[in-house]
Amino acid sequence: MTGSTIDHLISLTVFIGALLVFISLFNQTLQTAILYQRQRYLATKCNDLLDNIMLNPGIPSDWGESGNVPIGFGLQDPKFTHYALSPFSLMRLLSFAGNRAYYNGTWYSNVSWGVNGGYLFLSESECVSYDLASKLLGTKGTYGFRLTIMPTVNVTIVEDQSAADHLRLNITVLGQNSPLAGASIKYLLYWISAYIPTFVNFTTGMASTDALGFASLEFHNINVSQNKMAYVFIARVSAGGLYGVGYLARNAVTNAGTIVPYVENSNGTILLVHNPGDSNAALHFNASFYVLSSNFQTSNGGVLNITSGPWLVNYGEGKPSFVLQIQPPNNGGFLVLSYWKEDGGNECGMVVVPWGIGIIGLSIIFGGDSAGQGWVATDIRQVAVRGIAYQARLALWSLESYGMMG
Amino acid sequence: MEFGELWDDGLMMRTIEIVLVIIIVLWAFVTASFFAVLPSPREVSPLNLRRLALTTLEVLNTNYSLSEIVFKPPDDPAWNDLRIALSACLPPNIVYSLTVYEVLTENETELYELRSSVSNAESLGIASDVASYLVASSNVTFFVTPEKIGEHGVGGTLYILNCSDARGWWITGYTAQSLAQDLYNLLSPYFTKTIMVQNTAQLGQILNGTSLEGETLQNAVVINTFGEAVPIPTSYADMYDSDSYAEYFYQLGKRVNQYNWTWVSIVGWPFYYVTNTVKLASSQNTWGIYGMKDVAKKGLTAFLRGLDYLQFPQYTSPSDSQTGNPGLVYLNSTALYYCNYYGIYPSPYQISTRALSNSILTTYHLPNSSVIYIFDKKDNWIPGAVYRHIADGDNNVTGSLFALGLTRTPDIRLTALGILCAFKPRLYRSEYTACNATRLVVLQLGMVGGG
Amino acid sequence: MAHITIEYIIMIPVLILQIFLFPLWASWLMNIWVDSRRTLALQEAASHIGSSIQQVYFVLNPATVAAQTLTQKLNVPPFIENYKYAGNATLKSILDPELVSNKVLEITLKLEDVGTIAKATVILGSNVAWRESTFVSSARASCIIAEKLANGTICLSFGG
Repeated sequence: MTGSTIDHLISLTVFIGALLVFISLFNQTLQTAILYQRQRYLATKCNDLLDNIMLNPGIPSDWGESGNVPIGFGLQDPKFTHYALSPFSLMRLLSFAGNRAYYNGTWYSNVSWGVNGGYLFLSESECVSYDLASKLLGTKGTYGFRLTIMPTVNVTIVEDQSAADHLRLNITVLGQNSPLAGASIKYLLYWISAYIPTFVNFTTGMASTDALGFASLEFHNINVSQNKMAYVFIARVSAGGLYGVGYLARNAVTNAGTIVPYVENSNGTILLVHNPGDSNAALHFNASFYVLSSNFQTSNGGVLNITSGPWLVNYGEGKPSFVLQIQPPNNGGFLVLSYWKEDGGNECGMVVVPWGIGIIGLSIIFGGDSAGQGWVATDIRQVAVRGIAYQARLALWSLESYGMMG
Repeated sequence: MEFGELWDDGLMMRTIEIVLVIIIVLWAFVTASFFAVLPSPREVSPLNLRRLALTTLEVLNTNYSLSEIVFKPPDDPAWNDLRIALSACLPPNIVYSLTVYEVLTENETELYELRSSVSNAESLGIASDVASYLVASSNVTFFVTPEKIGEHGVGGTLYILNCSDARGWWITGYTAQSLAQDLYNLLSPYFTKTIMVQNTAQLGQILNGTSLEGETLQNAVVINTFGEAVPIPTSYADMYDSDSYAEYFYQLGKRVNQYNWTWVSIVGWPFYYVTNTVKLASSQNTWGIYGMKDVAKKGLTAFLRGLDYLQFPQYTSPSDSQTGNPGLVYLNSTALYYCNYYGIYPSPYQISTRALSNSILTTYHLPNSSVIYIFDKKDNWIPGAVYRHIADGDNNVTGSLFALGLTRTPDIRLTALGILCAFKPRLYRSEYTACNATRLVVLQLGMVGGG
Repeated sequence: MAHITIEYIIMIPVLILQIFLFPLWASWLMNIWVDSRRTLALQEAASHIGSSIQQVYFVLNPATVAAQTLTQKLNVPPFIENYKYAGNATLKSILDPELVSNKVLEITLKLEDVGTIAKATVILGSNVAWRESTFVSSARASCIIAEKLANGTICLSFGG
């Protein structure tokens, strides 16, 4: 009798326990299936959202150039169709690439902080924030995203230090997973001498890469030792219809410091700020703006509000920066700034500020941070920014948590 | 009692039954799991390979490079460049196969013929997708039938001043006659009738309201190819010589209003000189050119007053007009759009030294909402636009002025572009059926690597 | 006898109960999964319709596009698990001061006979109007009709 009782107790307990275990096992499988369906929906949403962003110019369609706050978010270039993005709309995206810059009470979006001598700081009041873009896309509170626009062709330009008495630039051209062998290179070189720093010399030329995507250019008339000369070098490469661009500017720290340009607004107001470093010397500068055409030729913009240089970056107390005004061109262009210590014969440097993403091949990272998200869907498109090949990658995640039951 | 004794006595049947049940349910679960295979993460959240393929083809064809390469023989080195470009622009885990087909004519039995193929993998696997792209050879000529202005509405006549008895100013490097011929070639397909006004007498005839060849005089477009000078008929020179012929421009403005013409000034300061090599043979324009008389700054004001003659019913000596020197100016975004539509490509930036003042819009009833800007305004100067006159209390346009205040030498592509922007005739494009000049490029992409 | 008590009072009722409970539980779990699947499919359809409406709006919106009517066929499944679905949309203003120039179009789809509802919202510009219309998934030519008027207003509606 007791044995039968024990039997019933054991069997009952084991049965109920087994029932619960199997319930949870089946439940787990079904919930995983539901989760996978949600992820698939997320992937579809990512695809639709990327196309929505890439295939419409936004409202107003020229919000990138005009500086207006958009009421419809889109990055398509209004002058083109399909997957061609506006270099000016991209410029106005609040960059997530690096730490924001702060100057004189204003925060600036940091697209490039002097990397290789290229600067692009844009006042945050001119930028479209992630929060606004989310609202305009209708994803605020439901989805988070990060949009990355990076050049398809990576053009790296490095100054060869082993060339002691002249300038040698080594150019390496890489694609996504292979070098771009036999690529044509067309370059623009602006350079100054510290002895005649007010005169900007210009030369252009062509070259091609070898089987490893490498090319080396020699300039025997330029000797950058002791910072007596400086240059801005911009190269466009092409192979089989693919175009890329790279740059290098010699932003030497002179004995009067360096110059840091901050773009105030889309109307072309640029603050030139003196970064004195350890020096108290006054910094002179000269500025030229070049309009860039689609066949990679430049013309002098002639649109600066300075009729002759050189100018002082700072006038002393109360006037810490120089306000430069350019007329932004429809095609985009770049500002070349040369700077030196007064009286000439000293050290000099040059920096470049692009007007428009794609002019010198900068990247844009815009949006939130996907770190810690359970599932992130991504999609890729090949796009063109004024003829330069870029890759647009959208990462999308859901902000709603999916609870697991059982 | 020991458990073993219970077992031996068969008193653990319930437990045995439950164990059997558990085994059965477990087996059912394992069987169900075997068949209920969940997809790999790559299948759940895939890359849109079709879009990636299409956008890759579009990017490679940004400057028509792909279009050039696919028409080359398979052993041409350009194909190697294409392979390099494809490998460079696709992510490392994507394999591709690009195939080019010739599009055959309707008479052939097959639609496509394989021409060449490049690939970086023997097989693209089962999970691949494909996009196709049609390209044309650069030798193809597309036939376009433009809609004629006036075909479905009013007007439709284009007068081009080709007066043999007049001389031009600020058209350095050209003659008015050569400009007239070029404008005829560019614009005549868009108008119902194009008339070359061969002399000042014919100009006087149309100013008097009499057609030359039975054309519709009303709502016409009149292009003055003489730059800053305007031909003056002898009869008008006799009647309207006040203020050094500024009164002639007043009358001209009045005619433009009454006939609802669009008067086109292709370069410089409009209505600055009058020209008639017979009537003004002994006059010169202060720069040594005879057959021309300097009207100076009053000319433009007089014309605008004539255009707005309801406000200025009688000719009285006008004030000097003003023009500005805004320097580098840019084509308006609408004009840039129509460059692509009509296939006319002047330089997008020009130098303007004779831009008209913004103030004329309010002074002479040229409402800003009706102005067609060819160049963007700069400060208060308008480098180039089509100004449309609409009188107070009226909704209709009564006369227009298209003035390009650019510095010499004129680019008539801008003139053509401005007229087309103002009238926007549609282009009916022909079918894409050129023989041996169309190729279909198919790009198939697949993913490799683990899920 | 204790074992009779356990067997007849506890064991048998438990066994009888689990005859009902087990299928009830299985049914409840499957219902969750089926409901979830249907809701996701309906949500995907609503999202795709919203995305299509937004793209059509942006195609017609530029000033260089003349007044015209555009029809966009909808690429959504006519049935979700053999159930057809229908829906409508409402246009509302937005209170958010950053989006005061915009309007939001809320699309609501309902799965017939089942009652599952899914919504999607689309942000459009201020020059949009919505014509009352109903979307029926099983209609032969379900589409979006967009009419741009001479004054720049874009009237959207379902068609088919």
